[in-house]
Amino acid sequence: MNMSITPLKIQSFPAPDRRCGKGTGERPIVSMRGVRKAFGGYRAVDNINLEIFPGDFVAILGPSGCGKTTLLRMIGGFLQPDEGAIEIDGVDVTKQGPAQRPTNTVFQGYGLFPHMSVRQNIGYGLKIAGRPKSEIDQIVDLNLGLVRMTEFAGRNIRELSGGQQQRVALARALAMRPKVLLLDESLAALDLKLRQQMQSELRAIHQEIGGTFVFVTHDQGEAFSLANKVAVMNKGRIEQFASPSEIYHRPATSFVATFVGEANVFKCRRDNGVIALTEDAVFQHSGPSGDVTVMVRPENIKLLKDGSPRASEISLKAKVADKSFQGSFTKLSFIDDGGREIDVNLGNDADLARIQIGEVVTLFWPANSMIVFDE
Amino acid sequence: MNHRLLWAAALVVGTFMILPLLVLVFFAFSSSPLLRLPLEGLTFNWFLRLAETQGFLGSLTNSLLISASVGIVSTMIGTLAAFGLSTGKSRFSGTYVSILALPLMVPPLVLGIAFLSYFSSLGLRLGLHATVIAQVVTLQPIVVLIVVSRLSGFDWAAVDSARDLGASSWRTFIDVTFPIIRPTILGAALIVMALSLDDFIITFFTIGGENTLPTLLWGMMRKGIDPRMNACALIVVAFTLLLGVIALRLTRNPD
Repeated sequence: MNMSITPLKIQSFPAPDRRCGKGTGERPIVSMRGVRKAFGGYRAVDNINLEIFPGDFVAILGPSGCGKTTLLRMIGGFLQPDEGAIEIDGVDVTKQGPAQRPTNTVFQGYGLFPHMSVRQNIGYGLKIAGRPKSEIDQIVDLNLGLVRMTEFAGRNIRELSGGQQQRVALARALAMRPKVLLLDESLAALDLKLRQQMQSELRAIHQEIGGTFVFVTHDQGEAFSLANKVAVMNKGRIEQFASPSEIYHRPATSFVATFVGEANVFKCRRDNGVIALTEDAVFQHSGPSGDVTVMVRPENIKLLKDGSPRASEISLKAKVADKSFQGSFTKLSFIDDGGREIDVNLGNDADLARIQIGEVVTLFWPANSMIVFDE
Repeated sequence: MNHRLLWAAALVVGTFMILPLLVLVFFAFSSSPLLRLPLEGLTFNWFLRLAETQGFLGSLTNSLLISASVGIVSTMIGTLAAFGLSTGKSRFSGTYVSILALPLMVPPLVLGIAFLSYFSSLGLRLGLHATVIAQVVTLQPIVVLIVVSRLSGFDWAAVDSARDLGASSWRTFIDVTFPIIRPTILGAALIVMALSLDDFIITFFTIGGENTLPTLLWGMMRKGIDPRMNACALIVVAFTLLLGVIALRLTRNPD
């Protein structure tokens, strides 16, 4: 076994990737520089640098407590950063409150006004802005249509279901035609079917009216299906800001690799450019000697039926510990000699019936499907 | 077996809680000046006699004045306190609520004497104003507790939304916050007014030479019992019940 895979350059904090914007000369619609926010001694948001370009649909993805909602609330003006600056459309808004900013937020609990009708809710911002009544009616009707709630215009908020309230909250924010629309886990309270439906409607609305959408979620599926760029946050920092496919296939840190999708993780060492997962599974990988984390996705691992793996493949023997049917695929759990657990996702067409729990089989995967992180 | 016990308990409660009220109502309309059964006939006479009683109209006016003032002042103070305690980030909020609620736990007799000696040491003359101050102190915790509990379930996202849509903090309060909690505040005010109308002990120690309905009743009772007192008590009960029923309806959760 003698090979080398392209070493990945690992950055603990990637610089904003301008290539993802619409054009190289374009000015970002939202720009955050060195933004920090602490609550008591707890650093909720720690040195955030982020540039969002006009037309982007951005997901801020992370586990609970990673600071994603704090970040969104700072963009919306509900929290002031302790340090750093926030610019929206070229204007420094760091010191501005939510009323002054060209942003609107759809809150997690929707924040509808329960004593007003659907129509009054959607028209509230326009009324505050002093728009004439006829214009307000026209804009409200347009946005009611956009979220397909036209027939509910006169209803009381309390008479609406969760999904309908969600639509009203969205229409109320959209009626202001904000330069940046912010959504705070807005879909989290809906059941799966409704959530998927709202996701596709959100996509359609973004297509239709354009503008920049930024939403916060802990749901990787939601982030990937809606956003063209995803910021993965952990412990107050953005670990990676890139397209969904790049985040999945080329995670920048081991946190991103394990948080996004499933991953088998091997903690091992690199000595003189050689990494040994086990005694047998050894491959060359240039870089400084020291501890490394090697990641391989369950869907990249196959079972070796006969013959021996090719030079560009890694293989190791492991015992079948568990087998569970997952619908579109079957998950097999293995334990190798070193007691490590390895998950493998196989299509249901594979010879699954033949595989018995307790049996020892040879697993293999292409060396270039592995990602190595220096610790 | 359990059912019988329950019924027995209900009977005891009924005998001592509801029956006295019914007796009061009956004798207020009894034509005989003696409080005894059976009723000989029905009459509104005692209400007329009550109206002619020296000091009655003054006491009624005083009662309504004090009740209204205490209702308005303690609701304003209590609501402001509740907002401060609910929106503030202080981890001592719970302690502050307990301190404000202290007058509820001290016996009214002790409070009455305390107010009396405090006011006289300040040189503050006794009278309606002194009673209003003393009652506001003792009744504001009820407003604080009611409004704090309503605000604990309050959807602050609605307030954030209003600000987000461009409303100033004042406009947000007028358009969003106040309309949402208005029933709670009105209910709290009515409960406080009902309690103020009923109060005897604090009023007795602080009102000086004036009378309210309860102190007037107490004065009349010292000269002997007659059906005018039943009529007077019935008026107090009717006001209190009315305020209580409206308050309960208003403070009930809309869901």
